[in-house]
Amino acid sequence: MTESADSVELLSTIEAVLYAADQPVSADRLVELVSKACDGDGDANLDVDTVRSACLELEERYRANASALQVMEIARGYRLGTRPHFDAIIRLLRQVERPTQLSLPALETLAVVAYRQPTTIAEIHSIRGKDPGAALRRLRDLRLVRITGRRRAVGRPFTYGTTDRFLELFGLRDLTELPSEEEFQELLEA
Amino acid sequence: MRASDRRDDPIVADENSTPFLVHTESFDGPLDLLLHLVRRHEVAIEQVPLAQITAEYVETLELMAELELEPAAEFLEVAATLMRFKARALLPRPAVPEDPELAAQEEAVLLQQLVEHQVVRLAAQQLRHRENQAAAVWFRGEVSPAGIEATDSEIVEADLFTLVTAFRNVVAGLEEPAAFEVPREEFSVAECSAEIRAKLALGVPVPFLELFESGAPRGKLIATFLALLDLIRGSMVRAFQDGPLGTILVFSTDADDDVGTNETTA
Repeated sequence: MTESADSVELLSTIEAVLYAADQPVSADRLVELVSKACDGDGDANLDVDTVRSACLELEERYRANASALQVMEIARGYRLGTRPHFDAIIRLLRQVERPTQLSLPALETLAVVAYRQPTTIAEIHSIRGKDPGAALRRLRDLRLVRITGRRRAVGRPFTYGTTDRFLELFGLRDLTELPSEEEFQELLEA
Repeated sequence: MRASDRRDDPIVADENSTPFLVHTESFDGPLDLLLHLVRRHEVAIEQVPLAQITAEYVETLELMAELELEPAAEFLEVAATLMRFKARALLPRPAVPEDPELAAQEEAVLLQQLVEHQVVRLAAQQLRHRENQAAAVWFRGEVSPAGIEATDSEIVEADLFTLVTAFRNVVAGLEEPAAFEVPREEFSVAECSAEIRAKLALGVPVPFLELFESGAPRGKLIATFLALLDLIRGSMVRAFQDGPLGTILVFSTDADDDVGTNETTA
């Protein structure tokens, strides 16, 4: 019985951390926090896999209880959020309109950066067929894109990549969650 | 299609009559225009009737020039490439011998660019979908969700070329200016802007075509179109299209709150 009591305790502990956190918490960080908190009383060999399955289990319980909350995997971490179903009532509570969306040119530039990173202005230009300067500036202002380094090429151009905020804004666990370019090609040929 | 012939209705921006310019930088590029034209033909990119597309592309550029939309140099570059393809197709033996392999390669490069661009657009659509899904999820204490803070950024759901093409149809039906002298009228973009906002004030989407008074002089139509683009750029108005060949609907984003709220609860 102690083992299952421990696992219930772990679920509740993770739940408390995710509730109190104001950004995604990685599995590594959860291990670190839980280990420090129960310093001394047992369970010293808590590992990342245990924490991961506990997070899944927590989400399973929320779902089984038809809870308004969900445990989400965002930006390589876990986060507690409401389910989309409750969007309307929360907007009423907070008195906010639908959020402004990115403009289409900015979104297309973002797509090129997301798929081709690290990429340069010249590469984006050749794919988009137009100067991406304005769109890139806006994406950088919004902290969705950042300079990641410089290319070893003539002129040593800056290279650009996406940020964690990009993952958060689009609800992505990591970049591999984006559909592959091959999938898009197949869609086009279908 | 000589733009200069049609300058008989002067357009006045405002009292001090500075030229009214809408910068296309914040809209789309030449590949978007090409894709837009290709889609209207409903064929695969490889089967595009290049000659026809070239004509349509050039016509659209002419109309944009007439509207002082300042097509960027990139548009002209693609136009030149298209014209070269067309010339090649028309001339059985080029005056200057050309490497046929090089010519085919040039076409292949443009087609490949178009295909790649289409992939980017699909990827962008997918991101939009994600963006909307993620915006419906709320986190504790979050005031404005993951979404972008409201700014004066440009929102063009129906892209620039959809609007320009739709506008081409508005002016295409017009008769050529009559031979006799017509009293000169001046049209102000600011006035047309006010008229559009009045039409949208109820918060109900209005079809694009209904913004243009039928039988109005060309200058008035152009001023109305420029006013619409400016309102879209300023995020005061949004234009949506129902599928690639669908109707364009225009609505105000800041319709009086007391009018708009009834619908948003639906």
